[in-house]
Amino acid sequence: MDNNSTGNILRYRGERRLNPIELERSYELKIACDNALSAINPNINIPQEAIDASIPMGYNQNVQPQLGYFANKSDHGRQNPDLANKLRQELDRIYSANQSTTPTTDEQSFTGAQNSIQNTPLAEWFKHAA
Amino acid sequence: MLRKIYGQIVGPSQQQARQEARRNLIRKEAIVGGQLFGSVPTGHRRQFFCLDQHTWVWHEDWKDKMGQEHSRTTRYNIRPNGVIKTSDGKNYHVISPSEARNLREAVVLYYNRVMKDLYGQTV
Repeated sequence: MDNNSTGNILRYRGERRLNPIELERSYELKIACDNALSAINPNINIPQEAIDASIPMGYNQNVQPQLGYFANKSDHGRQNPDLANKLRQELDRIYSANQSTTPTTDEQSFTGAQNSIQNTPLAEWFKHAA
Repeated sequence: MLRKIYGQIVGPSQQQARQEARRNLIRKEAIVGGQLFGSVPTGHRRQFFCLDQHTWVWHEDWKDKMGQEHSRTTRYNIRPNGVIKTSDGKNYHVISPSEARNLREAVVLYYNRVMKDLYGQTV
């Protein structure tokens, strides 16, 4: 590694020294790449029916297409309970895959909440109040 | 924002020169980007490039047997919740999962190739 003339940017050996415009553009590319990668999750498998049922942007420019939006949309004759269920199941699957360490059932969550409340002054107040 | 502030400091002529230099870089990137998807049919010109932090462009033009020129420009607008596609400035719609995966691969390939071949950087 060596420093370039500004002293701020480290470069690997063999890398070309970029002029300011190239440097700015390369940062822009990095951000653009990161934006695209975070917007497109390869693990999400949205059913094709959901895509077909989504409201085209040209229909209403103010509408931002979102899973929850078109899954629950009931006007324009687009209500589709089966599709909504499919989407919910897919979202649950994604959520559980990403949150595998957190409690997944209501009972576990409730127990956890009870345990956390028991350690607070508010829990003491409840105990005396009862 | 930084570009605006810089523009006010350096004046319009230098700012124009910078913008032109930036456009030249994007033109070179577009040529590299157009080669990512395999061979191009004879008479076709294909470009794929990153326009800004949220926009990727696929452009293709060609002449038919009658010598008439055709072109198609497809923009992919990256939103936090997905990708909106528009062809020739109309027909806005969310892209399909398979197209999203292809775009994702193209973006990664583009970044790696451009940074290596054009800017001489290790990715």
